[in-house]
Amino acid sequence: MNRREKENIIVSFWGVLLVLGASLLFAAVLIFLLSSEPLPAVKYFFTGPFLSRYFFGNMLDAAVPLIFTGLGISLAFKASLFNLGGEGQIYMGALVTTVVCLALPEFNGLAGGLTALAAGSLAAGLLAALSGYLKVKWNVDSMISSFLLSSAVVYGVNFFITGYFKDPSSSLLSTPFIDSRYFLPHLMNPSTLSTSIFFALGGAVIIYFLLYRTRWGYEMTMCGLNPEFARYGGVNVSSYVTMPFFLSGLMHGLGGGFAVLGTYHMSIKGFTSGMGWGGIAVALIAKNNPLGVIPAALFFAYLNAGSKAAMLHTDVTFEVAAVVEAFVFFFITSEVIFSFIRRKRRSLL
Amino acid sequence: MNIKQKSKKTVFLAVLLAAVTTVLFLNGCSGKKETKAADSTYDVAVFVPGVVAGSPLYEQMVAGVKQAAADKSNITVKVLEAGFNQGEWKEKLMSLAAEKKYELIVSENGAMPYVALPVAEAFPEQKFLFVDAVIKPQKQMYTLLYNQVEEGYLVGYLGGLITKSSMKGANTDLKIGIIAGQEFPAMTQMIVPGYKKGALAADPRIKVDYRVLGNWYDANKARELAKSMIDSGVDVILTICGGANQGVITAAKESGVYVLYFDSEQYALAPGTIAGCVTLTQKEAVHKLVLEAYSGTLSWGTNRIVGVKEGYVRFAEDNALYKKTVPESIQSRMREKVQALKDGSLVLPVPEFWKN
Amino acid sequence: MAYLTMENITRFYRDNHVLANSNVDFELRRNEIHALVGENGAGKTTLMKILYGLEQPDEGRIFLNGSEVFIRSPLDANRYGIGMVHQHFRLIPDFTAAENIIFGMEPKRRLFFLNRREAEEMVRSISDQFGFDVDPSAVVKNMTVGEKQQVEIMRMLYRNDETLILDEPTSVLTGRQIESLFYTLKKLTRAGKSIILITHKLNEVLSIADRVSVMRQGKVKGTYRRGEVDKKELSQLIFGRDVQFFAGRGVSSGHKFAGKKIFELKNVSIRSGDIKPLLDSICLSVSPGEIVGVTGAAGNGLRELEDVVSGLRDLSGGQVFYHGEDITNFSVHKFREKGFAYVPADRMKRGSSLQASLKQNLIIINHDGFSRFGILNRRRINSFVSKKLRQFSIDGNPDLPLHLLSGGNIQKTVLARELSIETDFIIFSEPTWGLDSAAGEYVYKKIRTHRDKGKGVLLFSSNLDEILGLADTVFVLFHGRIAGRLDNDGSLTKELVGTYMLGLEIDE
Repeated sequence: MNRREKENIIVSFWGVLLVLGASLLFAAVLIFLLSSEPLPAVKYFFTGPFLSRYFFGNMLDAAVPLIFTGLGISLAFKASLFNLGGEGQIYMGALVTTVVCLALPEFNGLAGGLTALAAGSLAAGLLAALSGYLKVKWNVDSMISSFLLSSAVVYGVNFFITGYFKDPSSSLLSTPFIDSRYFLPHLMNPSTLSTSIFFALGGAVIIYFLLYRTRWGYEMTMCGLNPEFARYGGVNVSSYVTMPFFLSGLMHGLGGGFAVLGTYHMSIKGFTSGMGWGGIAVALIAKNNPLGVIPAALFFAYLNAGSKAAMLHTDVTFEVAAVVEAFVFFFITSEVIFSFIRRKRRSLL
Repeated sequence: MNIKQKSKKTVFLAVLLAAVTTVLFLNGCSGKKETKAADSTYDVAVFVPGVVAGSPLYEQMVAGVKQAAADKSNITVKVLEAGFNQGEWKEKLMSLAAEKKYELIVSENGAMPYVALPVAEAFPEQKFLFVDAVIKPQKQMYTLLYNQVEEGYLVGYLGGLITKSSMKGANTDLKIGIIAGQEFPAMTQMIVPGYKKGALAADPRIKVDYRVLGNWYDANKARELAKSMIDSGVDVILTICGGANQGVITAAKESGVYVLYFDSEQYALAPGTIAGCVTLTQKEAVHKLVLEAYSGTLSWGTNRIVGVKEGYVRFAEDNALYKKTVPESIQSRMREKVQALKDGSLVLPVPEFWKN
Repeated sequence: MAYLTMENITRFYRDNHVLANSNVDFELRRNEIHALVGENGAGKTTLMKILYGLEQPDEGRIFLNGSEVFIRSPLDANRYGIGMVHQHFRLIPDFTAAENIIFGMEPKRRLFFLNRREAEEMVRSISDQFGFDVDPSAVVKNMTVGEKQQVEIMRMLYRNDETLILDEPTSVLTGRQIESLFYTLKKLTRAGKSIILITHKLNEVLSIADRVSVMRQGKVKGTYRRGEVDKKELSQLIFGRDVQFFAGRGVSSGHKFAGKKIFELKNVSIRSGDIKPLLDSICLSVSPGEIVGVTGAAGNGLRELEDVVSGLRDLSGGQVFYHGEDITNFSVHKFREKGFAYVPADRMKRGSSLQASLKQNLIIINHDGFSRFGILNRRRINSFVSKKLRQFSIDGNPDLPLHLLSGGNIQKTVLARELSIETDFIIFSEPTWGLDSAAGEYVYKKIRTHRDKGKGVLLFSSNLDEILGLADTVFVLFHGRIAGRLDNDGSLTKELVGTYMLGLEIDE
């Protein structure tokens, strides 16, 4: 049994690696087909993120929001809940964080930053919790409700960024800059990497602890695996619907909040777009393990940084880079989802 | 899933990552830098805030730089499309500068000088050329601002003439309209005031109906908006809403009223409906400025404002479709106005806001 | 003359290093009922899965009418006229009987459209021919277990299968239903079908099988004609040792349980909609040192009553008391806090979480010490788990998902968990479903021990031997009401209980 178990893990570890490798290979082939200087393009795609502190720091920084959203999705997945509202939740968290910072300009930097983060994550958490509440109360499908709510919220946040809170003196569709006392210290100038990465890593450890070392995480996992059994065992199943959603939203909100305090220092229209969906792919690769989320998020950030580098140094255009990224994303998610379905089916037989 | 195994794997990856980070930290500064050695090329990067395809002004900018490169064999051109996520512009611009390869970065759009401020601070050697933009003078930047008050004034005046004329699409309500994709400083500070001023110059009784669509792509919504304006008596509409322009044109065509077009000459899109176009000769402007930068004659830290007089803002009055649509009486009044702007007998200053 | 032969079949599970079949030879004749018996894990199901194409043998060949066949999937099996009824039925709950039967082989009209009437007609003719009693237009989810099984068998007949495999067909049936099943099987063999019956109930084997093959530890230990072996010899062949059969009746026969009551139901009713109540004015009590048996034919309220006493289902009327405290419509959470232990009939879905690890399955009921301030105490959990594995001789890695364990080990896991609760009241439902006789005997011992320690036991069972062997007091449900409350004082017989079950006799 023990050997088999080890084999299992090795197989799944190499399996994931294989898919990641295959998807990178596929990206290379795609660049070959679409670029007139394929060799340097492929070279920069793979090595670009490591060529300088600047690119490397940016890559690490790009992983930060993905770690937060990946954690949020994993958390909900563990309870068998699909949070499809990540896009709206992270955007909401970012906006609220920005607005609170703008509203408290005379505040102590640390306390103010924490207040803003708390407000942003709370807002996103409540937004997500609404889906859980609707499910418990009226049995509304939470996958659909979270998606629809989030889509509506994206428009709402757009309205505030381009309207009510817009910086009238800027041609960017954005809020004004937040006060510099709230900025997180940067680590690898001039890259955008800030201390937010430590918060992301800490967050992963906390969520890991919560899921695997607490009664709460255990009961939530059991509700996710077999609600009838959990109920039979005396677990209050309905309380593990709203709460995981709330925490999932909370993580998304933190992702948005840290993006503001660490990287962007303001809210710009659409600046978090893609981070929510990225979180789903990250969670899928990580197989919902909070610690696995870290390398998975780094991989996605690497992919993104690689295509940026290829774009910068060669004739790879924005569209080509987007297509390459989309294909790799598709590749990975479909593989993981298929193997998930296969596993489910096998366990039914 | 065994937790221990997993976490071992994760720890392994974390250590690997930390190692790589450290190496880069150490090597980042001391490692060999790509300095501009004695190579004789003059490298120009064009930073496109969006994508080139479908944007006439970006196409002109790129064409201008490429023409300069055609003139001087040692000018190289790199075009970087930064996409529509404004949040990523700063990082991507920083990436370009971090290359330390380009003598000049060319871009267009009122937001770009502000996006570039921290980049300029981080790379004090980097020079930037921004067109269609302005900022408080920065020693690494040169900005060229088109006098869009004049641009707005010319189409506003034409609109005013049309609405009070007896052209078959014109009614007696004396109302003209303007639809903007979104509000931005150039819109509220220059274009709309210029448009209103032009209209009032044609007839002080004219009312201007100013609407904002909210985006640059929803042609259906633009059509609805234009319809409602037309229903309220508007018979000439200036449309500045990117991809959604088509919706305005469709609505105008259906109702037999007129459309004014901004920034490029597009009579052929809807002959008989598009009654006038103002254009920017951005290609020529960019071409000239890049060559000046190349030869070292460009004075950095300058904000230059150009208009009809300098030949960078034009009213497209030679087009056959224009001559066919608009009666000669109006054509001649337009010629007079353009002439007045050219010879300086009519001055339309850019508001103080732009001169900070 | 052998009609179907399996030769030298070997199947090794690399996953858990189990040699499930080792050089097995098996032979089926035309028109016979061939019983395949053996303990849990003896390799019966594996052999039949190979025959039905669900698994591939590592070695061995299969011959049909003398020529070799290769069965790579159930589709191939169907092509060769082999059909199988699994222990857990594979019907679509929202389809009618007819739709389930013809599913996959529909009679078509105008190429695409299902001809419902024709389908029902065909099903009805099968039904008449073999004496089934199922309404083709009835929806499966509303059927009793016995009816569902009939649908499964009719499905094979509709496909003209010649070889029918039935995996533990009687484990879910009541005595009457078993009789009618056996009658049907006999009729089928006369119509030319050959039947393989997987079972571990020796009485059934002796009463119906023409021949019996005994499997032990992955090998066939012998094949015998009816009459060649008796019950005792057969059980020695199966277990390799003597097994104690029911050692008499409940000990406390005639004992009166007056006064104190641990658990009591007063006028419990469940109604849903306008149809007749699922449970109607049930009154029942359990005293210290008493085993109360509840039985009844399927569909008469046994499952509903199980749900009520375990707190999983709310009442429409009536009250539930525990030590005199009114706990009506308390959540399961509260029931568990009171210390209820409950071994459910559905141990695969309700009683365990197959995707969760063995360890996670064992600690769902929060004992003291598993967690403090919400943080799991892994040392205590591990020592608890390893103690239970030893105590119940469960063979499995505590960190692997439960579904990797054998059926018997899963059953033991459920028992280990529920019996670890310190309580004076325990509910058992169908405690020996899916267990072999040795394991069953172990459970009986546990139940008796509880009783002897002065605890109250509520036993739901559709197995009359079990009820008569264990219960002090027997309640028989019929149409959701208590048809009779019988003292198991030594004079109670299966026949008498049967008359109550069938509603021939009802006490007021």
